[in-house]
Amino acid sequence: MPVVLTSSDSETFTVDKEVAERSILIKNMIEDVGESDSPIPLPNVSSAVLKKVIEFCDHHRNDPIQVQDETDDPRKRSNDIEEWDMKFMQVDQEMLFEIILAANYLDIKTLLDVGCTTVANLIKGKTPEEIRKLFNIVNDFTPEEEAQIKKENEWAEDR
Amino acid sequence: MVSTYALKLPEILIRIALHVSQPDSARCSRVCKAWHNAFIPGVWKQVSNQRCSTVSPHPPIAAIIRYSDLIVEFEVDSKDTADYGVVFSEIFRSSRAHSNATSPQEQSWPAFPWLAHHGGINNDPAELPPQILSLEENDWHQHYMIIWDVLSTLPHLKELRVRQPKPLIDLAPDAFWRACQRPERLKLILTRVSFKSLHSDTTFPRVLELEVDSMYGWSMLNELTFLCRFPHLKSLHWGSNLFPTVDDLMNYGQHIQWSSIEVLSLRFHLLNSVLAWILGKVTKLIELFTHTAIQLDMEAFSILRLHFPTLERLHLAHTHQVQSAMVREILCSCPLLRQISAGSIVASELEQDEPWVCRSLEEMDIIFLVPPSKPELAELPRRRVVLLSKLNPYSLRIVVARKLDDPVES
Repeated sequence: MPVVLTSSDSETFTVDKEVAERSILIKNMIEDVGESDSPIPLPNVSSAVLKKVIEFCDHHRNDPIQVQDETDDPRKRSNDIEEWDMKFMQVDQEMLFEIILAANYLDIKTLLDVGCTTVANLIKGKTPEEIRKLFNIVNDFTPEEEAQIKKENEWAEDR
Repeated sequence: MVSTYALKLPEILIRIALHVSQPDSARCSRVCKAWHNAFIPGVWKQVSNQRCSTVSPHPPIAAIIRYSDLIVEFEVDSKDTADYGVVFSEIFRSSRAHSNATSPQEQSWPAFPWLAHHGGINNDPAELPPQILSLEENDWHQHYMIIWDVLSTLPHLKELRVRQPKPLIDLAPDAFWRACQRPERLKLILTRVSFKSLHSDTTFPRVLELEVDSMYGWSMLNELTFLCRFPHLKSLHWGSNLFPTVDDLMNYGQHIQWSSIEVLSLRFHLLNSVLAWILGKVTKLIELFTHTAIQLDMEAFSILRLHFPTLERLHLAHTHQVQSAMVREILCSCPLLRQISAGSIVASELEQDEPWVCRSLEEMDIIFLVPPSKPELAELPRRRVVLLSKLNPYSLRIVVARKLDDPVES
């Protein structure tokens, strides 16, 4: 049975239930409300982003649901992304972060991981100043604080 | 700006940090305050005093104390210990300018109670406690007591790795062993440690995993009495330059708690009688690794059989074709086996075997021997391997063995 989703800008999307249920948030909503024809409102997701999210969920509709331990050893985490996911993530920065926010809100762990890995790969090898420029982040440290943090953590920088 | 909004949310930053390497985490921690909070755990989870170049700095002692609750693994490599002395000396030198305290404090445990109030310590000499100020600059003994004392205050330390720590432990052995007495479980890895430094009578009930390798000037008596001091080991990696015999084990090792050990890795010239003796003492064996050539005899194998129901990983180095029958029996009898590395199987013999029970096998390093005259026999292992859903069928190794056609030659 299909599910109807409404984006923040009131566009409606009709998707298969198994695709929509890649989102734990939607899955729980459907379980709580029971079978219903009324559309599910997603006030935090715009139609442009929702379209991308649905594309991702549709592609991964048959994947086994990840039951990964949150405390997993980060060394075992792979930063390799499947080719399809990598192409999927070739979007401008604004869309990338919109997708991450949507994945977080909708609770779609695989999409959130693919998004975060994409960001991690963007950060790789960059200096703090380059990272600030890249993401338009304001440095809120005092020069003394920054010097102190550099001194404390410098040992780990060229491992 | 919308695009950076996600990067202000701690929950998102923490998720990103999980995918970032230690060096990148260190750089990210300098971006801004929100990033610092998210990325600093990735910097301090694994700490090592080993530097990648002679110009790169060490983790400063004050920072180790500040971030102590994030540290899970700590590696001390004596290649760089002299430098650690220098790090301390710098603190002491600067502190000396501010104080002329001379009377050494009476030593008690903890030797440096100020570590109990860690977090507020930095390199500001005014904040350094009197014990530090009273240290002689070249008093190495005291300096190394400090590093072990610092380690003993890390609340979440799970793994302590000490390599070539000749000056490190020797100069403050008691402090080192105090650092190993922990409220929580600890994995202790010692490489090239001299026995003198490990001489002590205490036992270490919280060390559940122990790795010892390449020990300097140890006798069999030393090694075995040392192993007796860990009453609750679950995992033992024992590397020795000596050749233990059953007599040695019975004479000096009678207090070793073999029964709690589930993971056993033996890196020494292993005799069948010794393996059989140890396997007879272990009650629940999950993993067994042998690292030197051993040709299992029936005595050792029949005791290994007792562990088939629990065995998950088995690595028998340099086994030979003679053991084809044993390897086949293992595959037919160990239901939990996930990894096996053990010699070779004559493919034609598979015909008479029961089905393999090791349905969860993930890794298989076994050579299947096929005679040049009957290459079609390679189908026998192939047909069995495809039934193992977790095993990559490409890991199957088939070798054409001429000697199978010509037994006289072999």
